Amino acid sequence: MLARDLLDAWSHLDSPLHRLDARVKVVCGLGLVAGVLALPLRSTALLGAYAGMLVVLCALSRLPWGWMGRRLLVLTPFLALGAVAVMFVPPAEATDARRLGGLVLSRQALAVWTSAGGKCLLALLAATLLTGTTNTADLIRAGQALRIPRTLTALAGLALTSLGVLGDELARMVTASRCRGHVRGTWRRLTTMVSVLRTAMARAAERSERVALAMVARGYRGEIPQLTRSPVPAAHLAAGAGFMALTAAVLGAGLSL
Amino acid sequence: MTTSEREQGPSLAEEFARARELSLGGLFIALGVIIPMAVHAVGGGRIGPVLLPMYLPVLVCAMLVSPAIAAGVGLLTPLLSSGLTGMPPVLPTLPVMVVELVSMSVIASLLRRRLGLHPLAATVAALVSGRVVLGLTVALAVNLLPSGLLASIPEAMRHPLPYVLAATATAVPGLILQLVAVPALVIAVERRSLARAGDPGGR
Repeated sequence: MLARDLLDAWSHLDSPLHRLDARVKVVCGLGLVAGVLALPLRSTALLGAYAGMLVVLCALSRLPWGWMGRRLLVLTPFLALGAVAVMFVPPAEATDARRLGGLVLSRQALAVWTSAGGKCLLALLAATLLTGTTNTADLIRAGQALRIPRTLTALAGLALTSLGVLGDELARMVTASRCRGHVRGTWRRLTTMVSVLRTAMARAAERSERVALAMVARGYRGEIPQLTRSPVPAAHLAAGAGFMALTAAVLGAGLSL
Repeated sequence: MTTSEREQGPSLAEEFARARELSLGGLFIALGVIIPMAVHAVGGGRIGPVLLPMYLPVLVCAMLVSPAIAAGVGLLTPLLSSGLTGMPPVLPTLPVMVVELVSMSVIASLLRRRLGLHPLAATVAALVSGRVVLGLTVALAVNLLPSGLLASIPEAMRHPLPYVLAATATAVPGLILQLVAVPALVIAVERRSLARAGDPGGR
């Protein structure tokens, strides 16, 4: 349930973004996140340009808006905590003060919160778009093709493929503990949680032995084999180059402000 | 090892050991994504910096695998979690957390696997070094980032020592949890592995 919602939930759809080569998508995604993060505070308004680009891509991808919205909702507590913190930062001087309703807020703190919050939202939206339009196997192959060390791609591949199994197992253990009545009282809930985590880790360690046996039986000889690569189609390269040029242009504008 | 053995390459047992480390790393990265999600589902976003749920699987795994795999686990766990679930947020937490977890897991692995230190001592050393690295990373970022980007960092992070002290004070319950749970889990997993090795039939 959990992994299917995080990964491969909508990678079967047919859209221009789904058809785009995974290597191009990974490079463009990383480029966009780097561009978003590198925007200085004085150019926060330009986050709107990146947001516009991402909204266009979301529309092109045909991913359900509700699903993407739910994925972004996870940042709500972080943004709310930041908003509360902003309320307690006193303005440094009279020109820094900004009245909002009955509150006197610091413009600087408000700008930092807007910038950090906007950057986090856009980075998460870019990651959601990438994982929503690319299946896990293609993401791992793209990582290998981009010369990310094979140990890292192997670890990431194993992690992504085990997310569903382990998530479902953890959910079953939590349900079982609830059925046994381990729900009343903070201390009891805490000890139950620790016990569930201990069991989950012990089972993961046991599972790793079975996975390793399967790997060796299927020909693992100390290295994950490199999969064959096909060249990136010229049209996909051109689309990627155009996107990267646009990203760089927005960043350039932001840095020159 | 003789020349002929070296030419033959790694034995089946060595290949199995490497495969086991890799699969253990992969599975614990997955746990490092799932456990914080479960904790956040119960306590909301504010409980993460208090209980440090991602540190638990990363530290346990680090003591069971080689330093190279441990570094990979420390690097990939926060990156994958941030990409898939949005936690930790990409700014300002993710970069410092990546550096902290990589250094903690390498130190924990070196102390446990290479020097054979007791898991409790290795956990204490890893947690202390993690806090030191956290402070150094923040200090480095404050000194190296251009002023335009530095301004985007929350005020609290611009003073490394108070930031580390505040983060440590917030995380006291989580640090106690790591000190209690990590050694117990490492010993439990190692004992189970030894027991299974002595009983290949898995009975």
